[in-house]
Amino acid sequence: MRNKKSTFVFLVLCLVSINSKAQLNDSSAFVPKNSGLYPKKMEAIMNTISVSGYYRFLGCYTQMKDQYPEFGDVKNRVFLGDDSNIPQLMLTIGGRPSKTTSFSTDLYLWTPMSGSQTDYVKGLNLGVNLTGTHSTKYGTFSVRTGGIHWYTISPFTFASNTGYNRFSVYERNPWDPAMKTVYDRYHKFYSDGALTQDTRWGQQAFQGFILDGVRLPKQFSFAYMYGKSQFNGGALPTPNALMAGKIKKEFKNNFVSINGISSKTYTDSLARLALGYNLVTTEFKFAWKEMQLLGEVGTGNYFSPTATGKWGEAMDIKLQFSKEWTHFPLEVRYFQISPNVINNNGVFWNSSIQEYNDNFTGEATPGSQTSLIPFASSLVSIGQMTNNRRGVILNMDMAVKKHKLTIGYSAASELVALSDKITYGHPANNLALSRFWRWGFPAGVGPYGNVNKIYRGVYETVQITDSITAKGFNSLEISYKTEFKLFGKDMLVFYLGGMHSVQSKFSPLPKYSKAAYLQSYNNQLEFYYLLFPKVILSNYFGYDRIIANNQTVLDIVSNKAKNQEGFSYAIGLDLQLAKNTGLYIKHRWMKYQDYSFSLDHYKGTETTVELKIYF
Amino acid sequence: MKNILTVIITLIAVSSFSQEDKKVQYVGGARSIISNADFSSDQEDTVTSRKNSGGYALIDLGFKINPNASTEILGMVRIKNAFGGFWGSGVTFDVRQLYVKGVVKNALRYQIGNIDYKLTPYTFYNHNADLLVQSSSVLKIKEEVLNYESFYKNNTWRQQGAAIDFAFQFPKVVDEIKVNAFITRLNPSNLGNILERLYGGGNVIFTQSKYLTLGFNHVSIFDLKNTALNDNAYRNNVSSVSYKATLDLKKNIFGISGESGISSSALSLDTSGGLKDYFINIQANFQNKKSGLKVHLGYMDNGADFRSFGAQSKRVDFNQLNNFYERYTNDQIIRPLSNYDLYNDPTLYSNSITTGIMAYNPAVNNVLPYGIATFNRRGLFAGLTVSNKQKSVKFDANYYRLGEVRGQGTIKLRSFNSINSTVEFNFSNIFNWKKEQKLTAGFAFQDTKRTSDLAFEQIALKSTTLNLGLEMELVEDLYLLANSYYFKSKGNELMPVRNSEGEIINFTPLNISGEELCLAGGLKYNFTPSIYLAAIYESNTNSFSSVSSYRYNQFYIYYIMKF
Repeated sequence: MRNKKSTFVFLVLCLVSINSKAQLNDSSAFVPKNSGLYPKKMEAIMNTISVSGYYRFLGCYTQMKDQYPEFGDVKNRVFLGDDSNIPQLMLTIGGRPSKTTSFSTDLYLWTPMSGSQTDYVKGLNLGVNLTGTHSTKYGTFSVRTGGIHWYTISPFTFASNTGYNRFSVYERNPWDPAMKTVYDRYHKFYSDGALTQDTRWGQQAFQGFILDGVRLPKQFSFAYMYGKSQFNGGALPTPNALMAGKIKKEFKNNFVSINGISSKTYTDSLARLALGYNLVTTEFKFAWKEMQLLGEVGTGNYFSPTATGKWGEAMDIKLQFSKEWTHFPLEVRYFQISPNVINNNGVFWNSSIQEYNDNFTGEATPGSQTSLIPFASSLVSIGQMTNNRRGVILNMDMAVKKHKLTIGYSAASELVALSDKITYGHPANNLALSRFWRWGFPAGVGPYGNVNKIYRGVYETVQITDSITAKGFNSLEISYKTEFKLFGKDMLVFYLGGMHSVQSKFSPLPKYSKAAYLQSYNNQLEFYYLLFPKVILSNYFGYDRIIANNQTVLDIVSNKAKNQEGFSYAIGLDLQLAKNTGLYIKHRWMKYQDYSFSLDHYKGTETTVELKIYF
Repeated sequence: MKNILTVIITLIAVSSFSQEDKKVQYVGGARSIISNADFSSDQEDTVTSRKNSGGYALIDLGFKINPNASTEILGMVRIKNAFGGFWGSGVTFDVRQLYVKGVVKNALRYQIGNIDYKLTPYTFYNHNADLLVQSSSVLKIKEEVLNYESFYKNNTWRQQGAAIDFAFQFPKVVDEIKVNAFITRLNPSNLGNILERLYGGGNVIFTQSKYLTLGFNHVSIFDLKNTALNDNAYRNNVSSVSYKATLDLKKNIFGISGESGISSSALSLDTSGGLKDYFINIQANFQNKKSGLKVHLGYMDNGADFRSFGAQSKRVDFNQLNNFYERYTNDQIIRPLSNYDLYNDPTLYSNSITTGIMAYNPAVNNVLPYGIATFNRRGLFAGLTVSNKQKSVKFDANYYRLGEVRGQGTIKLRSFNSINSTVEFNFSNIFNWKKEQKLTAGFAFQDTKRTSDLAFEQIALKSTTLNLGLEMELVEDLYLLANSYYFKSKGNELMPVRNSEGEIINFTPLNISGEELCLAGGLKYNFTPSIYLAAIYESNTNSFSSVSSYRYNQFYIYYIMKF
């Protein structure tokens, strides 16, 4: 009894709150019992935290018989780890302090296995994220702050390009999500025409403050964001931020939205010379019987201490017909983006505006520039738009029994003659070639200093010696997929072909001749054979051919234009070791040669081993 | 002995360890701040950036591990992500706190590692001497961030060391005897000239009954000899008696409380014996139960050589430079710490015990710059707290009429007047509104004088602080916030210049004249009482610099979680 009484007295005394302004000489400050260890009462506790993530080991061994001179005589290389930002262990840690709020962070750990016990890298990938939602009778409002949130406003303002799903799936992406079986990844690509992607697909990374409201009265919704995209990043204290938002009104299955983005930074440390861009658009979708009109139209400008800030147009309009009308789904698309419109956070590339770059000298770090240095006149895959270009795109999908075919055709031209360069890729060996240069993203490499490395790819630049014109671009892309049984086991065959031409002016039809500055042809054939329920044998054949004409720079020895040919054959095994655990072994033979430029050739093999475990 | 019941008073702690039988639980907080400021000054300035943006997001994730029912280990990591740091850049990992605590044989509570500790206002206490007015509305958010960052809670100091406590209960004469003891490390030895410095002490508390409590307190800062190549070891001892006697009658409560003691501080090679002095603080308290009226009247006498660095260390060292717009104008003059900085920059605050007299700003607090433990102060003080029945109006005021015990550089003594008051109007209670509507006004006034026929002895300094804060609940959990903070100071002071031993070796004349005004407004949404989002805009002007006034506007977004 005595114990209980004294404990009670103690508890009461412990819970006496003490004025923190002891300056005021509160008499409770002198209560001797208010001394000792604190806190004297139990603090709030959260019982559960969720941890998920993945482990991914990637080892790569390259044996080159023939390689670029810049690599010297060292022809065999071991790489452990993928390109930047790809950890071996990713832990996503999250908690819910209340029913409507949450926090999360992600911890990555990476070791290059250099033999040193101290050679580790740790960090955050997406940073520290805080979220909160609040539901009312007027709608549901949510707020996101902190680290990187994946978000989209509209294609032109804040989104990433999703394209037409015409790509090779032989090489695995670091972000490929776990599937039920290793075969599901390929079969889903066959059956759905697309891969299952993680949450970032089609979205852009954003850091700052996002407030959005959905299920508002009259089917309205809105979003507002203030902060930084990866192009506004960096540690400078001068403001470098963007503001974006949208108001959307839905009409059953249709909608109209007004979207805007404005990015501003300063080129000087005194914050007097402003640099940035604005873009205001309307996005819409109207369906009528078997037809659908959708797209986005807007206007934008770019301003800098040296730019006038002139406004230009941006439009992307699609007319889609269902197969009930045309026997197969057909899309007719027109796009036109003024050279004055720039937004690296949107789905189109900048090919017109050279960044005003007085202050940002030295090696670029992620997010250190507000706009990218332009890609010159880029030879891009169908669906990838650039500014200073307009064009028509036709797309159709056909399926006959187990045969699936998608065909895309585009004819486009530049609006203004700006660049005397064309950039293009090498699809057959694109990823393997990018692994030649670890770990940075160098520009101007290769035997002739015209190769630039980007994330998981390279592009090459060819100089035009002709007078600068508004060039024309034509592309034909074909994707074919089929499924059948071979010796009683499932097999998938995918073919991907592309035929492109770049010429001095617009042409409705491609110029597959020396009339084109550049012709690019590529063929990629893939087989996936289900050897056993948890084992897939994969094969890949790649071939690309690039031919330039005599209005491009010629080799000083041969006096001939680029004439490039690349081969690739790869074979691999996908093994499902356990639930959510896959082992992927691939071996590639590659060969490339430019028959005009004598130094531009390589030949060798690459073996990769990937172990990926989701939890 | 049979009549003596040994009871551990920490049953609450024991029970908390085994809550829901979970071995690992989580505590901590998360915060995201984005800010955007623009700055300008009266003088031509082509050097200072006009605009500044910044921010961060952080998580403090603490793992509370209970290996058994009577032990708890807490390790808390801080993961901080700078605004603008993408893909892992701008990320820092830190250990925010680490401790183990537990109960031995249901009889002794201990904690090792980080400890939050205090004893009494004159021995070991974290006084809040520089934020004189009650924070409300926007300032309350900022002060919460400051307090969280520096572990300021209940006037404790966050230290690294160990502490124990235990208690005995008795059936007669004395209800309880409680013992608190601690030892912390202030600095390690550098194996050269810096000795290992520790801070230890404790108290014994006799609770005779609910009417009388006595505490015998002792603390000591001391160097461990032979831990470095230095024989001159420092020691600062403080011993005191604290007490609270209460007479609880039917309608009123009368009481006496206070603390008195002695201090000494010296270096072992100091032949003069160092500094020794005493302090007295006694106050009579009265409380009317019906009206809620509380009055206290007291007397304090803190000797000129009274040194107790566990109670005299300041939260802010005023010798440090600002982190935000540290310099401005074309001459790049230093921008001194302002009240605005005190509320906005948690990095200005420290939780270290400083063995020495810390710098202070006489414009901010010249009367009691080290709290009520300020040395060389003698005089009367009084206080009043009153609220009406509906708790719709609360009023609180404290007045100090003090003087110096010993003149500084002269036999003339400074005299001080200080008043702090807060009045809070709770309109919800006045008008029976369901939503919270609160207006808080805080006022502080300080006056320092030293009169003399000699001009160099004359000191006259006045400071006024006024803070108005409004919190209006617009719709459920959504609040409109408005704040007006005004600070004015005018006059002169002679600031002592001290050597490393704390002795005054000179005086620097200081002329102060300026005003600071901060107007702030915004919205705050409470997801829960401890999780909220706030968007705040504020405008600040400051004319304290004799070279150039300056102003800046700032926009903030706060998202704060505690869990």
